[in-house]
Amino acid sequence: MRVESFVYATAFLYTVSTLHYLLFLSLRKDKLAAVGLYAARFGFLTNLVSIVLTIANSGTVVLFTPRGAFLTLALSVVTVFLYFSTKHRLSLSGAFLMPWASVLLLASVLSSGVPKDVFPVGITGVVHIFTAFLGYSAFIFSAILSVIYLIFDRHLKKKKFSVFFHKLPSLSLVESVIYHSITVGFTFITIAMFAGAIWSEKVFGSFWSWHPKQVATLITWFIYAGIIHLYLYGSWRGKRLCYMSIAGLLVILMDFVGVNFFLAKDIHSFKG
Amino acid sequence: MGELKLCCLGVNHKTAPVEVREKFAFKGEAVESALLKLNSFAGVDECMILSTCNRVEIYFTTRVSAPFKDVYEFLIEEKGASIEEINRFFYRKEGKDAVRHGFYVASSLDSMIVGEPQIVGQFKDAFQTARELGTVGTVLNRFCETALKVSKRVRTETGISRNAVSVSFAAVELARKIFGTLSGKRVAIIGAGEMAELAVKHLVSNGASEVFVVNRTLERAEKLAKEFGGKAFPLTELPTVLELSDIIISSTGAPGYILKPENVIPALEKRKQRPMFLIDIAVPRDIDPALNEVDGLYVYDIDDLQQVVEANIRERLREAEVAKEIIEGYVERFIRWLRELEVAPLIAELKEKAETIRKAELEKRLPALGLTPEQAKEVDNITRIIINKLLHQPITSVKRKATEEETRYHVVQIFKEIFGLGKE
Repeated sequence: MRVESFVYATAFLYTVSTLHYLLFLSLRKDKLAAVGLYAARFGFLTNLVSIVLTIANSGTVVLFTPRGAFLTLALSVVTVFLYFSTKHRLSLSGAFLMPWASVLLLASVLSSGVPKDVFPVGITGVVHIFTAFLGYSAFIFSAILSVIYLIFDRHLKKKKFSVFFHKLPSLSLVESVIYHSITVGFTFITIAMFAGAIWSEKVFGSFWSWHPKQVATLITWFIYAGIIHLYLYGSWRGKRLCYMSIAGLLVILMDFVGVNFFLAKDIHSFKG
Repeated sequence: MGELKLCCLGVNHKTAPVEVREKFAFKGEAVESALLKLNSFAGVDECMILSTCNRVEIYFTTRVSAPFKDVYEFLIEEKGASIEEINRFFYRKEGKDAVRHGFYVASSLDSMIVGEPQIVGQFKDAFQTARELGTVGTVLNRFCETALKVSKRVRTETGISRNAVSVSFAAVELARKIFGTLSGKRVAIIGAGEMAELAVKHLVSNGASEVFVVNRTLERAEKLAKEFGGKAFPLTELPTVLELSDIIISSTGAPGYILKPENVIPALEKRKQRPMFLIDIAVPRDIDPALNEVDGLYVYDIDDLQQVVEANIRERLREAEVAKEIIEGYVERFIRWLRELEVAPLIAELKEKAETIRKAELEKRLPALGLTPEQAKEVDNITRIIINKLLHQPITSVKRKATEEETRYHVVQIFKEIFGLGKE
């Protein structure tokens, strides 16, 4: 089977899911959200198959191709979404998350599938790559839920009884899912950093080389460690938690765009 | 014999004022005697009466061409009604419309407050009474069972009864939107008043764990606190109470604001920013509306609660549209079943007729052939198979055609004529 057909199928399913969730936002019919969820689930499967096929075809870990990187990020975003939204019945989050997945798939369709320099991967390399992506996805999810929290909070204060009021369970639940997903992201990023250091030692001979990407990741790590600390021991709850979670994602995005696209060609860059 | 039909004749809160509904209501044992009487009319095959404070409806099945005549007569006799009254206030529904109406009623789509739960019980009781008296048969039995099943599906699959439609319950719903669960939450009530008490009652029955009562006169506070098993405080203790409470309901008769930024914000800080939900049901207001601007404080006054109720009613109507789609499927299925039911006796008659002919012919001719018992059995088998195969097509066709609106009457007539059926 050709990888392309699965990539296109995934792009199609994520788009269907996005459209249904967006319609759900305006029409509030639960059926629309249910279709959105099914499309996301099937898309998750085709996404997984396309990654497996890419690995099987090229014999390397997919992240060495730009297309593979986007596919993996989309998969991990959708994994985190499916896990939290199914567990807590936060179907509304699909309206904010599935557009991301669709954009990532569009990017993967448009980008090249040609591998750039390939490093020996090994188990630490695989752990580094996948935990990093899952970690970032959890941070994306928490930031998106933070936006939802802020809108919901505003609507409650303005006495606006919109879809947020009628279809979301409670502010307190949204808040606890934001925090939960930050801790999940933090755990994965920590593992990714250690695995990355070990991998770096194997490939380049040193654990830490003050590479901009490493520094940026360290900053991200400290930011999220701070958020968790303030939530637990300070009183940085509710809206403050949301603002910090959104700020954290902005730092990640700057780091991602800055390092991966503008810095010189290296292991973390997407330039072929 | 005419077509078998389900009909409904009724009045409800939309078509008649309360004094008319009262006049036609059947209370207690009156239902039973009325059912027996109604059932004795020639045009009424099966019947059931649903009588609640908002509606009186008579469901019946009939085969006569003017289906409501007997029921009018019954109402005139039983209730001393005039035909003008019946024409003016009653709605008449038959066939698909009656089935749909019954399903709407059981699912609470036709209720004064859409989604209210009582109607299911009332419908069930009406069905039970009629069943015990033996005035329901195959059709009404199936109709009621389907109606109850539909109602359950509508309740679980749509949000038709999910949102609060009373002001005091709206407070509970809002508290849930903020805190998630109410268990372990502490409620303070400042001042007293019927609505404040009712709201506290709802909050407590939904899990709120502790109640504090603050009042200018401690005696009054103690009396109220006792009712909820809570604690009473004088007004001077307000700062402590604020610090401890998640939900605060205020309804004093004070002329100015009792809860102002200077006493609420310190309490919020001491609570480590855990949110507070403040409900102001006093007029003039007790809580400074500026507090709503503070992060973590949600201030609602009586008008806001009323707005919640109105939004919820709109949401219920929205969900009712989804419910209608679900119901339509069941209406179609029920009508199809009813029409198939109508041709069932014809089909049975045809099968019996064929079997009689086959047996008669075999008995007449077999002995002359001098066959062994095995051969005779084989011939018996072959003839049965031939007849079954031959009848299979006309039977499935008439079953299918009998459910189609336009053709069914003619098809059934032709079927009868071709096979010489239905001549009793």
